[in-house]
Amino acid sequence: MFEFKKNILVIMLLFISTVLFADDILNVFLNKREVELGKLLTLTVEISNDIENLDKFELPKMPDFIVLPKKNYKKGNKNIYTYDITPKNIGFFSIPSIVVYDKDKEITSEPINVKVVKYLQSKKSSYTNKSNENIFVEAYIDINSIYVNQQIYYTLKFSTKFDLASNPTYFLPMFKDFWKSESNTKSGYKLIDGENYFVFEVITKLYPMRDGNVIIDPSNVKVEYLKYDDVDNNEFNKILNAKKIKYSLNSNPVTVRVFPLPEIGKPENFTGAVGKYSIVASVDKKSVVINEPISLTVQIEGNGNINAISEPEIKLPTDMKKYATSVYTKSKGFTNSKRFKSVIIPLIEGEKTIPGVYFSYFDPDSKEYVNIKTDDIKVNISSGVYVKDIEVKQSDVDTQNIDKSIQPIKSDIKLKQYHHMLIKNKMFVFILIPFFMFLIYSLVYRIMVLYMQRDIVKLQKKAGYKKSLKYLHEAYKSMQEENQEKFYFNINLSIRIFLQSCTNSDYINMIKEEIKSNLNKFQISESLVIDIEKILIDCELFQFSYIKTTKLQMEDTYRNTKYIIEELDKVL
Amino acid sequence: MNKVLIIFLLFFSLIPIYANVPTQEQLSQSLESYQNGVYENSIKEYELMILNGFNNPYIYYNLSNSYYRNNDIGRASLNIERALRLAPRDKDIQYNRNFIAQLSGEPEQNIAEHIVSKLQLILSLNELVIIVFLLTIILCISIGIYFLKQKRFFLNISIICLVLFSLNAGLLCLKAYNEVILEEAIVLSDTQVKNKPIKNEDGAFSVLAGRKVIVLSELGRWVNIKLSVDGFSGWIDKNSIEKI
Repeated sequence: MFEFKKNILVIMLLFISTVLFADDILNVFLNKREVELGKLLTLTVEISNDIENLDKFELPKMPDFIVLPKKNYKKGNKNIYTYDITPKNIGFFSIPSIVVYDKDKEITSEPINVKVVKYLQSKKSSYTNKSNENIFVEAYIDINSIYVNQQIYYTLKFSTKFDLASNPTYFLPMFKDFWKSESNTKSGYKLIDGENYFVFEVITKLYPMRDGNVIIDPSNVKVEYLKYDDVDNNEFNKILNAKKIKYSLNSNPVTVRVFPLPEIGKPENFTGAVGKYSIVASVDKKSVVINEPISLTVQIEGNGNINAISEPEIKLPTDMKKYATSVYTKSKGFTNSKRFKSVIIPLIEGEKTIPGVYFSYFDPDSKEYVNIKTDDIKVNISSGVYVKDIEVKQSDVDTQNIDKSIQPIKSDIKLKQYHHMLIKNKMFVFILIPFFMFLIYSLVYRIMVLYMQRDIVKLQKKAGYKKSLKYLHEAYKSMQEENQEKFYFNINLSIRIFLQSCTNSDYINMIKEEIKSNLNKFQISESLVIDIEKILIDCELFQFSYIKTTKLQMEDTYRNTKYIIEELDKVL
Repeated sequence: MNKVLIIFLLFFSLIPIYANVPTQEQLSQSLESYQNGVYENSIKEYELMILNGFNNPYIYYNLSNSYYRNNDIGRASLNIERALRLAPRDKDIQYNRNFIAQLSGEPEQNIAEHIVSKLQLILSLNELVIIVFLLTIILCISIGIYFLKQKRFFLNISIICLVLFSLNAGLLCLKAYNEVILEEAIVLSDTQVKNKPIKNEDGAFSVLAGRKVIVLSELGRWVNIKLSVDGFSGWIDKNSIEKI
């Protein structure tokens, strides 16, 4: 018993040492074990430097994958080889064991299993589960089980609670098994589970071309939304500082079960119309003369692939001849219509009947073929003479039309050569350059004139007033600090600078007598001149003397100066 | 003022026109062929004139008529469209264009499309280019003189010119978008349009000869087209269409 346990222990120790040894020599990693078809996997092979003949290392053949070498580098005592591998098919595949030889000893890695799917399930749920996301996209069709050529609506719906920076851009799949008409978009806000969502929908009409389980590949929506800073309480700042986040989402693939049309009961005149249709026929005139054209209009309207409908057979009596048929197609909302307008020429007089036109379609609701018919139309042909501009000729019948429908050839052509695309002629741009230069020159000239015409005296006075107020403000600050010298210095300067700017004389260096005599030349009241003189005397007296003034006195001087400057501004 | 006029006339005379203008004799020959029902000869004559660089809407019009008589609705439509681009106000050209469009199964336009197409029939692209060019010059001169002389008369001229310029420039943009930027083509023969650019792919829908389509992209010998008016799109062989 003891011997047996010992043997097991030895075997286990040997096994562990082999694994450890193998790990040291050869390691193989794969970044994913489940992958979408067409997506890349990275295979990493680490081999110890101790191995000889490393340059002869090669990956085993992997027929289920496309293998491309990516990067080879050294890390410590290991050589690392990386490869991009892409699966070719859906299913379970295995990356075979990788073998390296160390001195005639074979070291083998374990094979790695990979699951390749068409679409990853987790991705599908994350895009459609709105409880986890504030932004999601889904694709759906209005009917899941349909017949070949039956009309369905494929809707790609994108919803978000975020504010978008721009409209979402969408990429629809190829719809390889369908006939597709143009897509329509609509957007707006919707209340979903009590919350306001911006919803953007792309609706496409599709008509399946083959039966079986048909898969519509996922659509893709790319958006740019605004992410606000939650810390900032200011709404305006929030909007300004919002970050633009780019986001790309794939919708879920959609599976449609398409049934073939039943062979039993298929009418002979069935041309492939599936849906619900109605047919009407009418003529423009019910009483005509022989050879007078009648316009017969057959209109088919319904909710199917209108392009698949060809002109229904019109079985006319032998004494009536049918010419060209013009086809008009119209699509409005859920219904499509096709109008066949034919020209009929009656050849013999009498009361004639244009027989009803038959049309067959397959109704997917009742699951049976329906044959509908228009009413017979009675036309009275009388034996008059129909005067036409140009007679109907055989050549016109060949062109499948009647001759009066086309305007005749022009024989009096003036041999005048018309210019080819003048818009592509660069000469126009060169010719315009001097005119633009003239416009710029005149604009610059006007701006210069306006600049020159500005009132310089007024500007000077304005600048002086501003400067004077600045010194007055300095004086106020000095008054608060009870700095007498600075206060009177600023007051003195404030008055002198303003007077200088208004009168254009050098008042800074004038003595008070000169100022007085100068001011008398202007229309300034005597009392104001006296006030100015008094303040200037105060300034001279208190600025440089040891006589101390009170704060009250300074306040009084400040008020007076302010009053004087305001009064002078009005007068000068 | 006379000098300015002379400069303008000189400028327009300098715009290169490389063409061999056909003689009256050639024109009479092609007319005679047409009247005798030998449409192949008439087509050859007109095509030769165009090949020599002669660009005239009425040559295109007559060529379209010849093709129509020769049961070639596709080329009849192509040439009538070319004629309409050069002479959009000509009633006969308009009539024949509408008639051939009906034959080629073009659906009726809605009101907006109808208004846009009517607007495009006011002036040709070349006429619009010249009008916008002249208005730009007058506008530059009148605004410039107003800035220099400050006379109200020039301000009034500038305002009138600006209004006219805006209208014409808008129309020019519309025309240029449709005729230069948007690549329009004509289907030359009844063709199946496919969902994919693959030879063995089943046809998605068919288009009749003469139908106007918009070229979206090209891939080898395949062209991705969109039907004008009803907007269905698909792939078509490159040889089955010709750009207008």
